[in-house]
Amino acid sequence: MHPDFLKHLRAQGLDPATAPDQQEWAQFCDTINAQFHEQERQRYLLERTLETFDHSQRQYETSLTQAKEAAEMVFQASSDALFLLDRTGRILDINEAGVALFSAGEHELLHTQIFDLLALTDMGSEREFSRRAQEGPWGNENVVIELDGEEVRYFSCRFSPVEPVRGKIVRRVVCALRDRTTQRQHEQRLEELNAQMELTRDEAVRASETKSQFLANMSHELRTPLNAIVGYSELMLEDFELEDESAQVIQQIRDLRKILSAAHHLLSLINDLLDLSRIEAGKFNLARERVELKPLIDEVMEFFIPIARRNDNTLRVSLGASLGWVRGDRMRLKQILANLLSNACKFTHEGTITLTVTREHHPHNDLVRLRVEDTGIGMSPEALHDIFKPFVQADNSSTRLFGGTGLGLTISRRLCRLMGGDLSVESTQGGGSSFEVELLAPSPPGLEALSNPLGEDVVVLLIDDDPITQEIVKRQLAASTLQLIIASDGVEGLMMARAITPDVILLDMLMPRMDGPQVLSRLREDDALKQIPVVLISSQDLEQPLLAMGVDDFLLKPLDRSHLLHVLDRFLLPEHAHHRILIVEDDADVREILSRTLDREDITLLAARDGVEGLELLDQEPSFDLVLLDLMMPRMDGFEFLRRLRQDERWQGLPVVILTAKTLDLHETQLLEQHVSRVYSKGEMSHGELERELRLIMQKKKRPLLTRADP
Amino acid sequence: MSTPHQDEFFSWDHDASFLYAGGNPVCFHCHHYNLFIQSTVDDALGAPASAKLRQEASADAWRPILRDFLARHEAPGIGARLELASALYASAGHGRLDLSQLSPAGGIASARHLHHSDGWKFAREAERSRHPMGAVAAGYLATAFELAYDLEPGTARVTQTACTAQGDDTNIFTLAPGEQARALHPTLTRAQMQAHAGARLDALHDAEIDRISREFRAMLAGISGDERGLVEGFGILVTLTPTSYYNILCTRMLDTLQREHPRLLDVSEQMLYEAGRLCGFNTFGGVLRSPEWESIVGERTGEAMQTLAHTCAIARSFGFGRWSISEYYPEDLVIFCAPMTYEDPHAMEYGESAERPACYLFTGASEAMTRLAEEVTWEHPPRFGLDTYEHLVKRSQQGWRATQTRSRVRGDARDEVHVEP
Repeated sequence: MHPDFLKHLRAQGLDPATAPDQQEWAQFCDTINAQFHEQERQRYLLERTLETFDHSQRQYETSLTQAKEAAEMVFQASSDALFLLDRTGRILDINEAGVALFSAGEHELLHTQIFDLLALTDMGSEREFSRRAQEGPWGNENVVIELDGEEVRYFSCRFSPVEPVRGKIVRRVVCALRDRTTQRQHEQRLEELNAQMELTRDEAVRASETKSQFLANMSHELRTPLNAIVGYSELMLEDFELEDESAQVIQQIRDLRKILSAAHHLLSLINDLLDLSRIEAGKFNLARERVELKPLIDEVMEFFIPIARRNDNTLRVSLGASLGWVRGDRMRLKQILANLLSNACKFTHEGTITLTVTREHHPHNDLVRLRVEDTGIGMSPEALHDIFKPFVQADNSSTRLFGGTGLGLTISRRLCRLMGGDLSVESTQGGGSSFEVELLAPSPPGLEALSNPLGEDVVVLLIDDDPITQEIVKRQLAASTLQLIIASDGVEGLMMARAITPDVILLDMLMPRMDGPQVLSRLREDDALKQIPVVLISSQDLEQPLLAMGVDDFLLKPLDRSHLLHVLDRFLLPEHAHHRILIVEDDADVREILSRTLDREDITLLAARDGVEGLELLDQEPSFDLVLLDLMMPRMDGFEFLRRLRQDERWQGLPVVILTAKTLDLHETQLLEQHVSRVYSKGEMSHGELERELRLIMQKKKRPLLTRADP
Repeated sequence: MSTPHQDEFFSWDHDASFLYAGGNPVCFHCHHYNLFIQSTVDDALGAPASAKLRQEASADAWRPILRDFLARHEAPGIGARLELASALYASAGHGRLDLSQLSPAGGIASARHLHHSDGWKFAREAERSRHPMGAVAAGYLATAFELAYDLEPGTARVTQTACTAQGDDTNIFTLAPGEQARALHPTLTRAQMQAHAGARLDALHDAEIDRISREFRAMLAGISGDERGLVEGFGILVTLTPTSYYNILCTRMLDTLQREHPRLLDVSEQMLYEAGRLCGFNTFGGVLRSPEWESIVGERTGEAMQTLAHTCAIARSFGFGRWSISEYYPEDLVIFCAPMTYEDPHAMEYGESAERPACYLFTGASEAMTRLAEEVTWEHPPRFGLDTYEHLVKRSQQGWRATQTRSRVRGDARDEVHVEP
């Protein structure tokens, strides 16, 4: 009997084993009846409640189903193969594109590990996969799948962990596979082409290197005998010109001049070819020196006035005010101008050739324009188009008619560009041509006045804020030939030093903005300035500490004139009135030519046949002012000679000038730049020019780098 | 558990963490789980059908075990067989059966104490059960009667006429031989279990869990039914029951529901999950706070990881399988795993309920184990029972939920449960 029913009976005072009387039965029936009514009401409420729950649940299920269907539609519609993975890489769901990739059915793919399916060896365990999932999205660009065991296709595979709703541990990862077979094929083709191009490039580089090496060798082999031809021809001419003017002598002079002219032409051809070769090989090294424009133009014009006259041309010059200087390679700039003027003279008859030089001021840099205009034959548009291409002249016949290599303009433009400028041309057939060189030039504020007048004078820069000291030094040096430039503090002094590259700097110790030691430190850090001797001016006697700082000398205030001049003389004036030059050259002809060229009263020349002999002579005669050195020599070449020379404390400051027929590579150039004053190619300049340069160098005695770098 | 007659009858597969009685798997369970799962089957199938299923499941699950037991002891006569049957049942903590009044024509069997009846009173105190609680005992009596008198399996008819859970003084059963044998439910042997064994898994603190399990198993081996035939310890009543009994109950119940009342299937699965959660919380909690447990593991640190590891050791010691923790992220995610639990092989062997993940006990208990680790203050542990369960689990604000993510039954290499907030 149900306990609840028993409870009811007992509540009515009834015993289930005994039949009730009529009244008890009626009461019991009433109770049961009420119970049924109550149950009916509760059942009704329960059913309504259940219906409500049911309705809510259906609504929830409907919205859930719609959301799932939408997600499923997106999932299935993707053309990429998509996999829903658990945190260990097990496939929980896969779209149709994914199923289509594999021969197995969806049922077989579900619950397999993605890294097994895709053979991803870099994450071949569940732990590794879940570790990667925790770190964020990752991918694999080279997944290979064999379709039906035959066709191989390539896929990019992207794994994107799904941000967990709760906690930090990633529960789901979406994997997207994108077929990149076509892209891969293109990439492979590209790789093949690249490899092919690399091969071709390497071959071209090798060919270029071979060509450069060949040209370098040829230059040496050709220049050396040419040098002898030119040198001896000049000497013979000088000798003949001193003799009587007999018909025979005059004829010999004419012949010699033809030989000399032919030799010069041949030399210029070789030089042009070598220049172009080096530019194309990226091995062309330009000097970055301060080039005063006015003297350069004067020099060039002086040379071209007689040349212009040959074709009855008039050569005019128009110079703007304050041309100042540019930073570049003086020799190459001269070469460019000479090339343009030479062409103008060549292609103009009974006309006018005008060189116009202007300087335009701009906020950061000035622009220097050198324009060469002529009224000559001009060029057709077709010829103009190819004018800067190598071995091209206005027409082929012009090469035969006017001579030249056809390389001059090509080299000139490339040189301009190497110096940060450009060369452009305007021309009309029969209407003349106009070539314009554009060069960038620094525009230091307040230095305009200093830019020109220094010329080749010896310049002393005084950096001192004290007007009294400035006045005293000005007076003390007034009677000398020295140029004094004054800067009023360290910052201005540094700026001026960079602009004018003085020969000596007098530096005050205590100054506002930047004191003496700071200026000194900056000077020593600057490759262009670190060789300038610095004399410190101080009110305190600090000789030892200052010298340790890298100061070349120091002067105690108040300045004593004789003491000042004595100190400056140490750096600026030659120690000997008589110059002594050591020539180290293996070629007997070159040695003889140089000996005869430089055989002056104030110059004593000694010659050595190689580096070993050169060092022996230096050891015996320690008072040389300059060494003129060849590089390619037997027993000990110029490089080894130089290395040993600079290792010896006695010769660390001895100026060395290289005169070589060798084509230098970048490393050799850099090495020489550190240890020598100048590098000249044989035949690059006349003997007169060489003598002048050597004298200048001997006056401005070069300080060695090694002592600067080794305080 | 042991009796004077059962030396070497019980044996462990320590690695798989399964316990065998003769050649058949058995496991420990507490009265909370046993009563709840009975109630679940009652609710799902209705009391009469539930009682019939439970009785049949008990009879068929116990039959191979009792047969092995009798064969091992070579009982010379019917009396001895019945005596051994009574001893085995009592040693397993199910109650001491009086079979002295049985004859080939049947008769009366009685027991002053039965696990399910006493468990009802243990849990519900004065409340009386509406239905007799002795179906498991009735099934065992049927098998014992058939084996003692060499009757065909499935022919004995047993009816419970008095039940202590309903207020009677004793539990009384009437037995009679029948003519028509009913269909028998399949059960599992050790060989079948081993055929489905999974590979050992890489898990956290596995060696330590193994060590504790072995010590706890040694302790459990010394415990046997008392004079009542009951095992009372850790604040619970414990039995040793054939795992096939639970397998048959779950699979038959769910199969029947799927066939006849599919809308109730989800609810019933949820109830099986709840049974597991209840078992995990009360049984494991009771063990963890007991002095016996402390004698094995030493002082509790109260650290969540330690609690998780200890509950796995208890599960392994109860013959549930090699439960492990594969990953643990405090307050975020706990991943339990097992190469196989006792819930898997029945479905794997007989293909029943193969669409369902099967591990309801493992899943529900995993949630409970996580709550024991994350929510119980072990410095002052509560007394585990229905009140604590109601307070700390059912009404808890912290919503932990376990989901079975891998299933041997569905073809995965292991069982895996994620527990997350």
